[in-house]
Amino acid sequence: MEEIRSKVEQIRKEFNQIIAEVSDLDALERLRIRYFGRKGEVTELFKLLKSVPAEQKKEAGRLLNELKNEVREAIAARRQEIEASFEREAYDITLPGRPISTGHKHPLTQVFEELNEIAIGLGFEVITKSPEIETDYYNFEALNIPAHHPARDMWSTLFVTDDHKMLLRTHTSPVQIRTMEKRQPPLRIFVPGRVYRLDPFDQTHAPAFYQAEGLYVDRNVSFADLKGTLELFAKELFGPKTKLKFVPSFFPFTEPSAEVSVYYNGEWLEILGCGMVHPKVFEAVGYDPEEWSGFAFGFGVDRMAMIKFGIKDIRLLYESDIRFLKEF
Amino acid sequence: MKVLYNWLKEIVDFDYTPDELVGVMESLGIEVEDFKYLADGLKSKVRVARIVKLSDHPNSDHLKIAVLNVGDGEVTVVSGAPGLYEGATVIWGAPGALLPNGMKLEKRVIRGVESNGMPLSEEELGLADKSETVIFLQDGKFEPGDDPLPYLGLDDYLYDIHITPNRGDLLGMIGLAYDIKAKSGGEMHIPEIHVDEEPGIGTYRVDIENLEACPRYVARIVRDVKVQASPDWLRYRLALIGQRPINNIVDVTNYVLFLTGHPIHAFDLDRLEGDRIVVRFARKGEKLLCLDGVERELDPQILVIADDRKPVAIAGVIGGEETGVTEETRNILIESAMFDQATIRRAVTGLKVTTESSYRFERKADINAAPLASLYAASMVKEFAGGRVGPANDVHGELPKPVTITLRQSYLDRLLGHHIDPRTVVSILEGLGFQVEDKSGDGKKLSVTVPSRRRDISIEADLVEEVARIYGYDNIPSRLESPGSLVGKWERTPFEAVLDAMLMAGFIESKTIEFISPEDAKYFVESEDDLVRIINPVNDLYSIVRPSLIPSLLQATSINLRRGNREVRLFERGKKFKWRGPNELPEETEVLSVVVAGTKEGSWIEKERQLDFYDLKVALHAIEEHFRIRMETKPHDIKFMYPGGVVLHNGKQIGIIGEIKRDVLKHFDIKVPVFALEVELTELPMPMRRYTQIPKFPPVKRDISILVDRDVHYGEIEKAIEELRPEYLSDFRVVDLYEGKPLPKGKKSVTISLSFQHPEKTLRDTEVDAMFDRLVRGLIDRGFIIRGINDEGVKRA
Repeated sequence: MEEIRSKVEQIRKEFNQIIAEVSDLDALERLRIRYFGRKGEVTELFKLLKSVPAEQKKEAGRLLNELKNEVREAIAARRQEIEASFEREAYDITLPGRPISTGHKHPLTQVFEELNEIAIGLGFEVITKSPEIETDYYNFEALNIPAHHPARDMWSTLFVTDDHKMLLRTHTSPVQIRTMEKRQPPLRIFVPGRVYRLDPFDQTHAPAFYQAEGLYVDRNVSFADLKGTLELFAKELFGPKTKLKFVPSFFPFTEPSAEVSVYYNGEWLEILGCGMVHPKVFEAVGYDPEEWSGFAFGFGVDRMAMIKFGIKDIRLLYESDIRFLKEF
Repeated sequence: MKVLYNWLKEIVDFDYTPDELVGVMESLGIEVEDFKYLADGLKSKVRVARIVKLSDHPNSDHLKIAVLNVGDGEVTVVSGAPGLYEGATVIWGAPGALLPNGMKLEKRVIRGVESNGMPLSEEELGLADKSETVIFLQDGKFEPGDDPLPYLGLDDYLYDIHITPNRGDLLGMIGLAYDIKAKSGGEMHIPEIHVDEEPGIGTYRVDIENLEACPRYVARIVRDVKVQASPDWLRYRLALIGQRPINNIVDVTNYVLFLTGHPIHAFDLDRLEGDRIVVRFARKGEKLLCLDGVERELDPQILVIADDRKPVAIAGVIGGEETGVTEETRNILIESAMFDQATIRRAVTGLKVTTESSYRFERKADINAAPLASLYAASMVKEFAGGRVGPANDVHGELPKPVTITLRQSYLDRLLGHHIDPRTVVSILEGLGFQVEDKSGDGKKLSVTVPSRRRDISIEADLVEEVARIYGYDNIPSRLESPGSLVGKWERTPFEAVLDAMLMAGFIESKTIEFISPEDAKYFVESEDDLVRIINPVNDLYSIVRPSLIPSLLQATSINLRRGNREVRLFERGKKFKWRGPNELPEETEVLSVVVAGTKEGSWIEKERQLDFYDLKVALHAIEEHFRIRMETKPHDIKFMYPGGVVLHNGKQIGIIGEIKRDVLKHFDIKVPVFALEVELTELPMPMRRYTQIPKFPPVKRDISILVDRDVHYGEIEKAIEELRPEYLSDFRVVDLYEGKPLPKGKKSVTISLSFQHPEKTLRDTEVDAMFDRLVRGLIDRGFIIRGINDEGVKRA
């Protein structure tokens, strides 16, 4: 009995010294095995129990169990301490991650995607393939803009041949003609694309910019349909409360023609030209104006993007400053 | 065109306030670019005043001190204006007045004497370009304290309106009044004409050589005119609409132009040689000193008015200086003609000159307005310059018949998508001054005769627009039908698909304009004959339609680096253009271009480093991954790259890749290496996705190290492995490149990790060994040295 008592004291003393110095989990595991392994010191001590006289067995058992629990708890506590310290010191989760290079979509691309989606929802087929250098016929003549007509001044034109027969298209409208030549009505197309003008590069002008245009030809397409379509288009683009104003205007390829303004941020902004397809345009592509009617509309996409994103200088869209592009 | 509210009101009745008139004009399709009250800074700050006392300024030779009776008291002003006298009636500008030229009057001390405002001149009131002295009002007509603004024409509103090119008829007050009348329903009050023609004055002979270019010419002589300044109201009115008053004859021609919209001209009759006017095309070598002081060379495209010997005016554009009306002029010839719009436009384009006259003829004048404008002019000349008016010599071919168009109610309703009551339709058309005949008796079919001033109207749809315009676009309800049989769609192409690939690879999308300079372009084409040139560019920097997107992206790179944006990883999707001669449209090819340059920012975890070629090459891998294709890069001479190469897909060249040469970078002012690629998107197949079984069994790995000369490209090894590819070699990649000891000089070791995998089972080591051995033998057969296998000889060497 005394032997047990003194061994318990000795083990407790030793253990308390050792445990204080253990600083990693491996050493702790070794310590656990030293005491509780098959031949561990505590395990061995329990083996002595059977040689203790019966009347002292209860007392000896109590002493041993006390020691066992004490050591076990101390090891567990230490394990927790070590694990805790280990996790805290391994890495700092507040540091930033590895630098990444992220992709950014150009604001004009974002606007195009939005426009195309709205157009698709309204039943338009989006056409993105078309020549940007055009003939006089498709850019002007077939659109009822004869040579030597002052209406030509509405489009300051860049030419690539001396006889002015080949030019950089001034609007996306040639695609109306090219499409109608190939297909029979009904048709409903939406054409986004690049257009060019003899304009200086300044805050509000660019020699190259984007337009989008819609054309719908069917039996009984009317001015009322044009209004309805554009109103819905504008609501999708600018919000459900958007108001539009239609005033008479002139385009050689539409009759009647209208100019449309949107009420946005407290002011009326001219954004779009439109009208009913001119009978002469139908004649140019061989459609019978008595059977078919249609509407067309066109607008500057850059201007839309500038309104939408609050950009005041069109040059920002084309100079590719990465700080600008990363804002989108 | 500039329009005065009061002038318009003289011609047509309406109840619109000046503000409301803006909205009315806009609803009619007349764009109002600017609108202002002319007396904004003057109202109640200017008064009629009488000089009651005038004395010399004690401290000045030229200044006077004037005491003015301004109605409710007296004020003292200091003025340097010449010709002041006691009893003179002047216009006093009080302190606080803001003059049209921006000058603000204030009470101030001039050389020791207090001055309260000043007497004003026409120049200061914006009524003349230059004034000798202040305005002296006619005695007895004005009392001190009166408001002078109505007399000066300044109590008015000015509209600067933009007229669309089809509406030449709106370029005169009468035409504009007709449109307002159609909306307001008010009466027209066209100024009446009183002129007694004296047959004794005689007519002037007119010979028109080309009736197509000049379908009508009305000549009229007025003798014994007295050329002097026009009456104040006329001078003021012209000045306010931006026309410089000259003399009573020239002012009348200008006034008639703005009143009727029809341009006319006056010659000094005594300076015309011979006895006739000839309307003909100019002869080669003829010149004319014009009224603007410029001598112009004429050519046979240009129509001129000539006397017996020489051109005296460019028809419909500008008169000649020599035959112009001056103070010495006694007798005049008034021209009121009609010229063909294309002829005038050719002259204007060729001579690069635009005048109020040419602007109107270009927009098609009204042939029937010619005799009328002549009468207006004669009547006004007689009123302001006296003289004796001769009869008109009205020379013309067959005059056009009035245009009559049938308007069907069914057509109108169909085009507008809205039913408008036939009575409303008739009243709108009649309001516009059109003659309407109800053919069917129920308004279903109208016969509409259009006055010749409305030369923009020729078809039924034009009438529909007229009705809709006056009815109000706002009053036509909106309608939206279901899409019907037409389904909305967007057939995506590689142009769209490649966007995702680039964004996923972390590149930034750029958009640049298609124009570059010849200096930029020359590096990027084999032959300059391939360039698409703009013959009338904005400037030389934008005179080439680019043959590649790379020069534009180099510009962008240069800008970014100079602005301190250090990491440049840009891509653009766009077209490149190639000239195919004048008889075929240029070739347009959609391409993707990518540039990489500068520095990848470092951080606490990774060091900062220069971006290199392999930061660019990932763009190709992104395309391969996204489009599920394989592309090959092969070294090749590229004019503006070194090293450079071509990108192949299925053996076909679809692009180029490499490092931009030094001289090119220097041209674009870039000081760091730039890596670029350009791939033709039209050559890529759309990404196809199809599920293939994910392998169930793990791959077995083997490494192989190949010893090659250091200038052997990896691509050659890759190609050999591809060709030898054992059946179950599922993947291989280069994992190490090594040069140096213990390798012989000039050699490098390329280590490739091979993965073998069978879809159905785990490969046994013996099977893998067999495949590996076959591959090794194949490589050895092709002359490759495999380290640890056949490198004995090499080691010894």
